[in-house]
Amino acid sequence: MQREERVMDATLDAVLQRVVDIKGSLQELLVKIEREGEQGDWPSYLNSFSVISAQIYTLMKLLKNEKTPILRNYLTLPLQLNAESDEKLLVATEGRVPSFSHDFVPNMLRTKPEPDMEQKHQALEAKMAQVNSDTAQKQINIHNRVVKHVMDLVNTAREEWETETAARTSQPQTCSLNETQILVAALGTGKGFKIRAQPPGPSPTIQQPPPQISTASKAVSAVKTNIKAATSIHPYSR
Amino acid sequence: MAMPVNVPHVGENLEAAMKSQIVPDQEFLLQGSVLDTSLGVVIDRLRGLCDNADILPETFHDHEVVFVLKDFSAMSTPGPASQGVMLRVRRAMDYPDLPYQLRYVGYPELGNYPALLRNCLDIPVSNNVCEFLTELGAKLDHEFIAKGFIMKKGRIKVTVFKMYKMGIGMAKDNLEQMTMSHMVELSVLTTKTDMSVAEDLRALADQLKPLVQLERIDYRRLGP
Amino acid sequence: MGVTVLQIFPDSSRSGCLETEKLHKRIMHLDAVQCGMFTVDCDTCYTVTQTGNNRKLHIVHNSETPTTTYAILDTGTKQITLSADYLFDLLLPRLDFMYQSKKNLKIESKGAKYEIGDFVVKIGTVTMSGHYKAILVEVEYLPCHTPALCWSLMREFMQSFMGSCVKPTLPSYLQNRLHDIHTPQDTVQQYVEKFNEIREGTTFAGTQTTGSGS
Repeated sequence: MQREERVMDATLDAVLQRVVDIKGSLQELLVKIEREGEQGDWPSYLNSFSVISAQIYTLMKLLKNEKTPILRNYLTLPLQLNAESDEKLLVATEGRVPSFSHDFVPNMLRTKPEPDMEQKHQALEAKMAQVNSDTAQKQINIHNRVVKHVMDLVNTAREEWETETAARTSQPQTCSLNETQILVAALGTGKGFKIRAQPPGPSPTIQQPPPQISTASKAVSAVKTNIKAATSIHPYSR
Repeated sequence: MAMPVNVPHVGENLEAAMKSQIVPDQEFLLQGSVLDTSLGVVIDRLRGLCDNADILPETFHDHEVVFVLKDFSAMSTPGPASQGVMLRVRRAMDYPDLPYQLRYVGYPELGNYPALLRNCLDIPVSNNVCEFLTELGAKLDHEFIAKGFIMKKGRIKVTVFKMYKMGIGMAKDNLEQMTMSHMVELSVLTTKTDMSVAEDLRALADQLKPLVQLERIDYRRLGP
Repeated sequence: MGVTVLQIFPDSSRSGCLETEKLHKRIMHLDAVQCGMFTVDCDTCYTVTQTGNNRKLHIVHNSETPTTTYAILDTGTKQITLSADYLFDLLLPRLDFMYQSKKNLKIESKGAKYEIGDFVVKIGTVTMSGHYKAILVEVEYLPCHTPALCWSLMREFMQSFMGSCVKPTLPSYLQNRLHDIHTPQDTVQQYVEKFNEIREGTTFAGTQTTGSGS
């Protein structure tokens, strides 16, 4: 008997802890919505949701655990109601429940949904029962098709977006190291500029007179002469 | 008219400047290239980074003739005399009235500098310089056309240009291009005592990544 | 820039300052105004290679054009004058495997500058590696650009304070360029010509009967 009680206590403690965690996360989310509203960062909302869903998942796992006693087998029976305010209860419920009175107890200890909720639920159940199973199947199919179509749209959009970002990260080539080296060598040593159409010309010691350019005023033509020289004579033959 | 009584030598001034190492004869250089297809992007980026972003970058169209001065009669002996000195003559084809530039560029210095460091002299000269060099004993080695844009950012000179070969039967508007890329050069002239500007050069180069990879490239270490 | 004529003033006494003092007095009588000093210096490089023809490279600076270096190449058959930025001087050490200067041949003309109307006169004392060599007088006539049009006027003016040492015919350098437009290069080339004469020691002879070989 004592052992069962201890297990029960431990389980309740664990459940309580999980519930407190979930409550904390929910409060954080509420604060975030209040403070940031629509300006909020979408990924951070998603983060909050996933945290909460994970916490709910652990809670459910805990409840379904083999070692956890089946809580629904236990009854909670209010023995005594008291209209006077109870300090301890106030602290334990974080100021929501001032006293263990007629007002609060039915709500706190109820095991069924609220009456109007129950009514709505029943109305839906009745409606469902009325609908022909074929029509229902047809509606389900149509719905599935619409959902699938939307999914497809989202997926193609996502694919497009992803290829675009991929293209942006692997930019097209804008420079070539090989070309840089060719250019630097050409600039530094003249490699590639020298015209080697024929084997090297006559021995450099045999100098032919260079084109005669007499006065300074005509020296613009000096360079022109050189261009001409390059076009007509082999540069090494000079 | 009050004139200074003692006229110092031109040479004396220069010697004094050399002694105190304030002659800007050192050049820091970073080189890279950009494929012609991406030229527009690089120019736009550079316009944003450089001075005078509100006006179009200045263009240039230069003809460079490179001479080698050495003792051609004593070719077989090794040493600096047989290697000779490269002397580069540049003229602006689009501004024929500007003086020609005679340029001497030394070998890259060894050492761990943020950019390629070399001795460099840019000397404006009269336009008979080609004849002068020929008579001096130099020989025409090669020549080419460089066409492109020039910008500046503070003391840094930024040039983006394409090189064209000159050869047989080449019309002025039908030049043979060297590669499918434009050369990109960042350079700054400085003195032996002022090396701080090299970091600015690196910073500008980093801002051009990954469009252009600007590096210190020693052309002597490139393949044969 | 007008036309410039360079004239060696014979110095029979070989004292230098006595003769320049004399020229100074004479020119001041013509209402000249002294307006500063000037220098023209010349360094000469020779080819070091044994083979091939010997070429001379004169490096000249003129205080009138203080940021310019004149490089005058003398191949023996012709002269080419390159006007360059004075950074050219820094290039010369790079070429020392081909061209080397002989320091003891460094020569310069230094002195006072005068203005008389349209004329500028510079009376220079020529020294070679510190030793006094000769007196060089440069006369420039500002309003004219071609020697042919102003030589007679210039000759008259020059004779008025230098006397008979000024010959009636144009110096040969200008004789060959009678109708060319005179440039600063021409001035510097005349200096090189005179400097060469002074170096070779042929100057004092021939200009005046009292001249003695040096």
